Amino acid sequence: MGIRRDSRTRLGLAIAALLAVGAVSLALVWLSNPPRLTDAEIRTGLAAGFVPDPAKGAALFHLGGCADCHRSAGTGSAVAGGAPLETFAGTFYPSNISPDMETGIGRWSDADFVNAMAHGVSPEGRHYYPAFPYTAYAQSTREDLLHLKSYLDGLKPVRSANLDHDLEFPFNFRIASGVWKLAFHRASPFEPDPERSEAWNRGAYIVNSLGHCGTCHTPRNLLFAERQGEAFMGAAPTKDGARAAPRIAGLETQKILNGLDEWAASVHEESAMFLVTKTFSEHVPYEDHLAVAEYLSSLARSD
Amino acid sequence: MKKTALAAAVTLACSLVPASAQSPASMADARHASMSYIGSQMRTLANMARSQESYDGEYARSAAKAIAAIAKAFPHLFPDDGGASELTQSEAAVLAEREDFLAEIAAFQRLADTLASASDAAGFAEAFGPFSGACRSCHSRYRFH
Repeated sequence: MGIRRDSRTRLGLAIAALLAVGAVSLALVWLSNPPRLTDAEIRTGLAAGFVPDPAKGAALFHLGGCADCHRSAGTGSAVAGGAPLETFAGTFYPSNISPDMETGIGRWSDADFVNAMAHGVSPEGRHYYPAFPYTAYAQSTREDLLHLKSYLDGLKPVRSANLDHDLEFPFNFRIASGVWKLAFHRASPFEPDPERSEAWNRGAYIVNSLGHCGTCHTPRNLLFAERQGEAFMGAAPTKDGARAAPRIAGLETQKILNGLDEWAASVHEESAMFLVTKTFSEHVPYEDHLAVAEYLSSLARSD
Repeated sequence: MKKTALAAAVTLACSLVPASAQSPASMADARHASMSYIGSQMRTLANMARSQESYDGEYARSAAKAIAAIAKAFPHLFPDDGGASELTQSEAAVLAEREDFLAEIAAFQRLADTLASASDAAGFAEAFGPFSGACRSCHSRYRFH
């Protein structure tokens, strides 16, 4: 009996070990080569007769403040990338999103674009660092992402090779982004609340998806994920010496409107919000300002 | 007070001559001059409102009164019928949504008056945001580059 029990235990252990190895292998495969949607999968679920509209894409481009990060350091282009983005993890050099065939996104398919924006995966199957806020962009509608791509496709291609990010240990291990995504990234589109007004829902959509307000204004946990339940309650600076992002939940409507108005806002020129305010003032319809203000002012202050 | 007098003269001239009787070119010129004047004051007023420049009550009231006076001329600076002439993109948009446009103008006039009647720095700062919002609201619908 003793021998039989031993062999059973050994068999059990062997099966457990095999399962563990299998699970780790699967995880490693996922982490090193994450699944990507194909163009056919992207098309299913689109509204019938959907045609991407570059004019709508332009509005979304401004709403998302894409140029705030992807602007060029030297070429004068709004989208050729390379201007340093300094954070606690080191310096990121946002990529060239002009339609250049060699150095930009000129060869990207619709699926490549959606995989990047909603799933944080590059066309080569690499995980993007969450400094690129795909956790928010994932809430955009598929249609809006394709409008946006059609606008980018029509911009002037600029030849400007992407720079390697200059990150501190352990952030320089890209696979860590994969582990982080398993824990914190949910690629589910925004769901409107039928109990609320159209403007409120529009505001909620802008703030939580392309507007990515929480990227700066929501406090983060020890693993740098936005804390659920403390959305837009204000957050510490992303690097030493930078300014903290103030609470924007539950403020008076007019205060929020002032923050989006270049004339009314008191935003320091070196603050990241300076560019947001400028873009909102120059390019975003005032109706969207009102929508953002209606949504944010409706949120409870948790203090 | 010179500014207020100038604005009053613009207002009077615009209100005495019916919009339809003015040449499109002169209306466009008057619009341009009015907007340029308001634009020329905005940075100073904004800086006073957000305490980036010290508040000068006399200056702020005088400029705000001039803007409020110009605001009263706004409905006369846009054609109120299709006419025979070619319309600019702004004119066409204003004409197509005349009621909405007039509501925007009415809000702008009211908020400019509130700004002009502010008696101290705090009141001015409080009135400035909504006033600036009225500029943006109308521009984002009816201004074309």
